[in-house]
Amino acid sequence: MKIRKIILIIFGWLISISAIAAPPDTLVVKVMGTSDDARFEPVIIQVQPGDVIRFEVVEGLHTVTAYHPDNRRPLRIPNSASSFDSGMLNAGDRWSLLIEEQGVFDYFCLPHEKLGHAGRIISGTEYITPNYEDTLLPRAVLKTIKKAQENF
Amino acid sequence: MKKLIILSMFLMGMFSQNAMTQHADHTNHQQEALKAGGIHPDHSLYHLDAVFTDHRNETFQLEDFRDEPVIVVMFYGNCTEVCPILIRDTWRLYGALDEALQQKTTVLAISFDTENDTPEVLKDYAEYEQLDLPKWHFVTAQHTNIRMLATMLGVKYQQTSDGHFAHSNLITVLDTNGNITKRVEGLNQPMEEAAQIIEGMVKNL
Repeated sequence: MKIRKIILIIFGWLISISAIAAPPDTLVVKVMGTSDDARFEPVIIQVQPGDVIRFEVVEGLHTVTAYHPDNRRPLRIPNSASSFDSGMLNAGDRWSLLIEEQGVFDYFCLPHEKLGHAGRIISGTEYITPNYEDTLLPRAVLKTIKKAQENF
Repeated sequence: MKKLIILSMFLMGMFSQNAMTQHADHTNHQQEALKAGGIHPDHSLYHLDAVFTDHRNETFQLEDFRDEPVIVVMFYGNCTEVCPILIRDTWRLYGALDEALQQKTTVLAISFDTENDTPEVLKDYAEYEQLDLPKWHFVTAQHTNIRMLATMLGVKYQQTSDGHFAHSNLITVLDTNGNITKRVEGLNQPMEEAAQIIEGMVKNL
């Protein structure tokens, strides 16, 4: 009887700990294609602040690079967010990104940017729609994001 | 009781694994590329008597850069594989220098696509890459001169049937006399040593 009581107490304690220290959701974006067909799947992903996105490279050579002046590109992530760049990723590689802020994060693949290989992360529900300057991006990138946004 | 304690510790260990951040899980492999060829380190590139044109439509000879460190990379603008990374790596090396050193170091990004990469095209490229900087030159020339320079650098390149190029991935540092003093082959390589060499060169000027 006493042992049962102890078991219940320990499980109750573990459940409460797990509620506090629950890991964030991990969402997966597949990185596909090798040239004209290079793409992120899905192109647009919705997350909550604190979630982790794991990029899994299925084929080809790619990067996951923020539109940010640190990467010699116009700013298209929230002002308060840090820039990110995965560096070169090959087939089989995985790279995880923690999203902490609310807002819209646009990113691209360095080798295939001109072919429209780009993606968007929408974090949270209370974000303000950004007024990013579209004229600074390659047309193919805008086309990818616009098409995905229409179907989102 | 003992089993309970072990079970508790095991579960606690599982629950505590929630510290995730930007994290890479990948092997250190490289895109297939033509391996760089051999060089004659005592043979100055300034012996090459060829005229080059940059993205500002200014002409020059390599010897014009005598007495300063020069970073050289060969690429082509239509590349949708490794060249953007190669250019980024060159920028990483340049960015590893402090501002005073940057002002004394020239970067030559030389295209082997002499057909498509005109000075105008290279200007667009430089502007989009936010590398239209005073010490950066995106360069073209007659094909024979590009081939000669590539041979001296040990850069191999070959046009493929689809109009792209297979090529070596190589960043080269020239000393103040135009001799090759450091080669960084491959992508995403550490640049600290090359940056230190440039720093040492400038100190000795």
